[in-house]
This record gives sequence, structure tokens and C-alpha cells, in this order.
Amino acid sequence: MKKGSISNSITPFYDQNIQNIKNEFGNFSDLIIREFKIGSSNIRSFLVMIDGLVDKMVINEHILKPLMRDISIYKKDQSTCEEMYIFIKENILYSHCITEERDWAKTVHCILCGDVALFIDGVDRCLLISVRGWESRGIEEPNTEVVVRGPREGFTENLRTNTALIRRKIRDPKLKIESIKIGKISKTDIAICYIESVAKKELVDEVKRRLEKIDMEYILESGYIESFIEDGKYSIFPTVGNSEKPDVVVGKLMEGRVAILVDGTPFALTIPYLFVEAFQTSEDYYSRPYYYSIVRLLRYFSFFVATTLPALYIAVTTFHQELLPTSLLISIASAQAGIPFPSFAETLTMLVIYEILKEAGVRLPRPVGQAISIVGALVIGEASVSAGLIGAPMVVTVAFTAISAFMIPAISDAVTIIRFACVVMSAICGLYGIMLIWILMIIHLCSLKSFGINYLAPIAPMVVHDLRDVFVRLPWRILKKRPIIFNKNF
Amino acid sequence: MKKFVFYLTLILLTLAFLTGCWNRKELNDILIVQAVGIDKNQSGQFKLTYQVLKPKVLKTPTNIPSSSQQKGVWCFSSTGKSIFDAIRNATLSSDKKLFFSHNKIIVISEKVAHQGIENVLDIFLRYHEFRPDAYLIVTSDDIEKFLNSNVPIESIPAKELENVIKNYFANSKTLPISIYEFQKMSNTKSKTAPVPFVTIKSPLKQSSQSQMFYVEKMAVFSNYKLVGYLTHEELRGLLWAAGKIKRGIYPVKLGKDIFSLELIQSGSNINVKRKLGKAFFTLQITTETNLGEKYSNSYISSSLVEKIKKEFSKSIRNDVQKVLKKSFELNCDILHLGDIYYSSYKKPLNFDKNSVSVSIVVKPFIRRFGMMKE
Repeated sequence: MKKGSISNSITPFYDQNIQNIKNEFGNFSDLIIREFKIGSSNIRSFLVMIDGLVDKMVINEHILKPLMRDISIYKKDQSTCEEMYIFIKENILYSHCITEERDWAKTVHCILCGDVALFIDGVDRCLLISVRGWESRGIEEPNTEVVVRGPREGFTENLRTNTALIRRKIRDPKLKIESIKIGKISKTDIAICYIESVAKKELVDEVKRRLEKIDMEYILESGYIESFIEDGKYSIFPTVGNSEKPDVVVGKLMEGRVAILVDGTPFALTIPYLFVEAFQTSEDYYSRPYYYSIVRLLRYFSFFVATTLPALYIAVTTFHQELLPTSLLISIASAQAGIPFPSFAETLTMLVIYEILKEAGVRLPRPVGQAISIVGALVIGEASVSAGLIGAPMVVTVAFTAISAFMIPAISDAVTIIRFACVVMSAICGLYGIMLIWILMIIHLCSLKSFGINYLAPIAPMVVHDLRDVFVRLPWRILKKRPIIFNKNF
Repeated sequence: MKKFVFYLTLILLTLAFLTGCWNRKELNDILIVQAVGIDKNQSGQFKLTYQVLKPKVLKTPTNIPSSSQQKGVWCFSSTGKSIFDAIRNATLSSDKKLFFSHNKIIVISEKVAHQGIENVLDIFLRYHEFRPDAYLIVTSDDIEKFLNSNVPIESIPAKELENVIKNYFANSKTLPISIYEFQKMSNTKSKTAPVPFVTIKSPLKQSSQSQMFYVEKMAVFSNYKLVGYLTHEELRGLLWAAGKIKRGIYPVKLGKDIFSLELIQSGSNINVKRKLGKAFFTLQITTETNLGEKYSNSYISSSLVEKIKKEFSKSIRNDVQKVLKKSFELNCDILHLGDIYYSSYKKPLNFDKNSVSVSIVVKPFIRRFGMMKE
């Protein structure tokens, strides 16, 4: 039989089925076809599985052993193949999840997903037994969102584990986890999570509609999905959020958002994503509100510093010297005296060096990481100042800017781009240039939407009811009512 | 999106042509002027002296130069037909352009002050680079020597001078006055304004290296011309009338005993009434003091307190009377009585001895007597 002529359904013929499997998979080194006879009868049967995706112990103990030995205790050997099939399905197999399948393509897919297919001679169906069991990382504390107080578990690469982590926090049938497959070749499992009656139905439908439109051969990370479903495709600001922590995702689900989990990555997407979310962390909600309200205000301040401070320095020292208090001007002037570069070149150099240091520090293997900090702190910070290449106030400015950017990691890439834009514009036309960039940025932010909700909401348009969780975090007794923003049209 | 890019490029393009902010100047390309002195030379040209920062010397974090030679400033001068001309002529000898936005002090020589400074101050209020809150000072010393003095503490003499005249808060014997305050006071009906008169003196008799600034008296400008001087006591009278008294010490003499009263909180109120063509001003002064010091063996009894208070009122009245007397002498309305009169009656005040009378009511109060029982 030729490869192209495989029929769409499973045949009742034993040899034909084996041949079909071999044709489909070709010379698979990890394909296992285990042929055996059921009990003491002469009914031929075989199991198909992918080595490494299945749990060997379960197959040996709970599938092969009952089929080859235990069955003969209960069943006479004279029964037909069909009777034997039904008896096996209903009485013999101890597996928790068995599906009957007639379709070839689906069978092949399930085998590739880690199911075991049981073919019995003379039966035009197969049984797919779920014995998925592969090596996977355990639940660990996520590196990206470290907390002092709060749950330390993080998502893993296993989709089922991830959905279980969410399900464990919401024990209500209203939590829906729907799954679809995306990726023509990779056929990656995607789970859409939402809480019925909390998430708006239109939002869920819109998410599904956008997901179905994705035309991609493979999905390796939730970032692929993000780039296809986000609103501002050309925006530097993210309109889809992500998190590695189940508690964060559940918190967002409870506010009426939708989460998308992708098999193979610990990063879950949350939709819609608003600008203010970049300034919120899970710890804000777990700790007492007063201090974390101040911290949240500090994050907004840090956003300003991270985007604008180097530009302000340039503008003030090259255009608007009169704005500084005299004593501050004197100390800056004395530090700048003898520096061979204009402050714009100086700033740009320092910012580029910082970006290089940061990127190198992330990619480097851990043991080499120390070298980076020594080079950064000693050579660039200390030596360049004493060599008279860079002014000390400049180093302070860039250092403060860099630290401020770490306060808001969710939008730090956008912040970096704005920072460079501000620096260039302030070198061209001073404070006017900075104002120009800010006006452009605010216009852009106002025009952005995330799944029908204004990106700057609840600040603009202002939703007073939801402002209690924006600049400050009010106590839970006030906060317990859900935000209204996701259920009305803002 | 296309629209966005289009508008972005448009804005950026217009920026290239709209060179509204072209005057980019690096910190290394400017000379930061801290004080400027105005004088006239023999040929009648303006001679300006500038006190300019030397940032490289100021590099030490404490701002204290290591030796007296290492002053944080240097001084030079230029001449010109007008002040602006003289300022621009400075670039004939200096390596960089002068930058005046941080100018703190404008020193005017006695000679220029006598001739009138209305037109001299014009550029300081008109040109965008000058700040109207720079302090005005008159001196009889040579301006070059005055600005180039070696002050002991600050490495910038202008800074020290500024601090000295700002000490008015502690002594209430001078009054720092900025250009715009001067202009505001001179533009009234009374047309008078006081300006600190500062000289340099040696801190100790034998020391010759460093100098200190000393606010000797207050110059009185009438119609932008220097007409006379007020002593410290007379200036106190002016401050009482203007309600600008802050802290200060009043030594009260009772026979041989001296009691130093420290002013804590004071207020004053001045009213005018017209009767028979004469203007009667009532100056009400309330003041709260602490007893700071006493040179006496007597116990503090309530009768003694009453005596001190009486004497204290007398000496305040005395101060005001002194400045009033000086006013009539110089024939200029130092206390700005004309303004008060004008705001009540919309008529100019006939300012002479016979038609103006001021009665002073002082309500002193001694709050505390210090940490000693006696």
C-alpha cells in the first residue's frame, strides 16, 4: 500500500493497521509498536506509543498486564473480536481516561501527544489511553516576579500543570478552561481561561475570534500569540500582559480578564492589558496598603525618571542653565569642567554602555556575571570619571535612571525607547523637545486600545470607581467590589 | 499608523527649520557671572567689573579652595559707552561669553549712585538673561578691589556677600533689596528706596590677607539718586514703619542696668487721618520679646518689667522719630508716608515738617525671661 492512499478511518484489518502506522511515521526511532495476543485467546492486538512521552510503568502494570494475563480469568477465549473489544474497554483497562477513535489523523495526533493507541484485530476502532508522562520541570519560584510576601509557585512548561494551578485557586465551575490548537505543524495546545459571568462575553468571543485567525506553522512561546492578537501592532507599549505567577493570573481573571495559557511556556497572557497594570505588583495586594500605596506612587515617579531624567539633564545643562539653583549649577559646572564631550554625546555614550551592560549581564552564564559588575562599577563608573572622560553627575543621572527603570519591568522596553527619543530631542531643542516627546507619547497612549478598552483607563477616560487601585491601593474592604471597567464600555 | 508616521516626520521636519531654540550653550562654553560692579571712569564711560566662577578650582566637593591663591572666582573688567556695550566688550578679553542668569549681586559705586541709576538698571530689568532678584549694593570702595576681595569662608565672595546682607533676618539693622524691589519702591509716589551700603574691612586688626564685608549703613535713593544715608537705628525706624522687622536685639538702659530684649514676633500698622490740611499718621506697633541678657543685680519684679517695657517703647519710638527727622532733613519720604496717604485720599501728600505728624503707639510684651530664675 502506498503512503498517499491511507484511508481516513481505521481498518478492521490488523496488518493493514500496522502498515498504515509504519507508513505514517516512517522510520521513527522513538516509535514503539508492541504486538501481543490478548489473554490466552488468539486475538492479535498491538499498542502504539512514542517512547519518552508515555509512562512505562503504567503501561506495563496497568495496560499490558491486564490485557495479557488478567483477562483470561474473566473471559472465555471463544468470544469474538468485537465482544473482546467492548469487554476490554469496559472491564479490563484501569486507565482514567480512555477515548474511542475511528479517525486516523486524530489517532496519529493523540499518539504524538503521548497517548497509547490499542488496536485489536477485526475492530475498526482503536482505544486511546491517556498515559502521558514525560520529564518536566517541577513547580518553582519564578525568576521574573520575585515576591517577599505571597505565593512562590510559578507556572511550568506543562499546560495541564498550569491549568491545575489556576483551578486550584478557584473552586467554582464558573471558571472555564477552553482549549484550542494553534500552529499548523506544532499543533500547540492553547487554553483560554475566564470566569463566566465575570468576564464579558464579548471579550471572550473576541479573544477566541482573534486566536482562530492566527495562521502560523508553530507556536513556541506565548509571545507568538501575543503578537498576533494585540491591538497596537506598531506600538512600543504592550497591550497584552503576561505573568509567570498563577496568583497574578487568577487575580486578573477575577477582575474580569481573560487568560491564555500556552503549552510549553510558563508565561500566561492576560487580556486586556492596561497601562496602569505596569505599575501594579501582586505584592501590593498582599501587604498592608499604606506603604505599598507610597511605593506605587514611587513607580509613577520612576517612570518619569526612567524616561526623562537624562534628557532633563541635557536640556538644563545646555539650554536652560538659569533653571538650576546656583549652588547646583556650580557643582555641575565644576564636574563638567574639562570634560571633552558635549553633554549630549556624554549622555548617549553612558546610556548605550548601560544597555550593553544590561544585555550582556542577562545573557552571560552566571559564573561570568561577576565580571560584568566589576567592569560596570569600576571601569565605567569610577575610572571614566577620574580619567576626566565622563562627569560624575552624568554617572549619577544614568545610574538613577537605570535603577528607576527596574521599578517598572513590564514596560521597561518602551521606557528605554522613549528615553533615547527624549535624549535626542532634548539635545536638539531643550525642554521643548522633551515636552514634544511627552505630548506625542500621551497622544499615542490615549489612542491605544486593548480589546476594546482604552489603554489609559481608568485615568483617561476617568472612571472614578476604579481609581482606588491606580495611584494608591486602598484597603481590601473598599477594594472588594470588582472594577467596573471591564464590564462597561469605556 | 501611516498617518502617525506621517505626522511624526512632519513635526520632526518642522523642528529642523523652526530654529526657535538655537542658542545651545554647553556649560563649558559660558562664564557664570556671580556679581557685577558698575562704575564710571574718568572719560565718563561705564566700567563694569565681573566676578566670574572658576569651575575647575571649585571641583573639591567642600567648595573650599586649598589655598588663598586658589580662589573659586576671578575678576576682570571692561568698558563701554553703555552697560550693554561694556558687557559685550568683555568678550574682547574673556575666552567665553558671560552668562548672567546666576548673577547674585549688582554693586554700584557711590559716584554712579549720586548721578542716578534709573537708566543703569534698565538693562538688568529688560534683558532676558538677567534676573530681577539680584541684590543691589552701594559701596564707596574701589569696585575692583571690592569684588576681588579674599573672603575667609566661601570660595565665592558674591555668595558670602549675599549671605551677609541676608542676615537682616537676625539683626533687623539692614534690608536686602533686589532690583525689582528697588524698582517697585522707586515707582511709588514717595519715590524712595533704601539700598545696603557695604564696605570691606579686615576681620582682625593684624590680618591683612582676607577681608570681610560689612554692612555699614543704608543708602537712601530718592528718584533713583543717592541722597543720603541711614544709620542702623534709623533703618530700624524704617523697618518698624514698613512692618518688616524680623529678629533683633534691643538693649534697654535703665540707669546703670542694661536689659537686652530679643525681638520674637512683631507687627505694625499705619493709618492716616486728614484734619485741617494736616496729615496725622498713627503707627501702631506690637512686639513680643524675650529677655536675653541682663546687666543688673535687681530681681525681675513686675514693676521692673513695666519699667523695661516703658523704656523699650521709648527706644522704638526714638528710632522712628530719628528716621522721620532724617526724612525731613533730606526732604524725601523714606517711610513711604505719601503712598499711605495717597491710597486713602487719592491726593499727593505735601511732605514737610509742618503738615505731617506721626504718633507712635508701642505695645511691647515680654514673653519669657530665659533659663535663669532671677
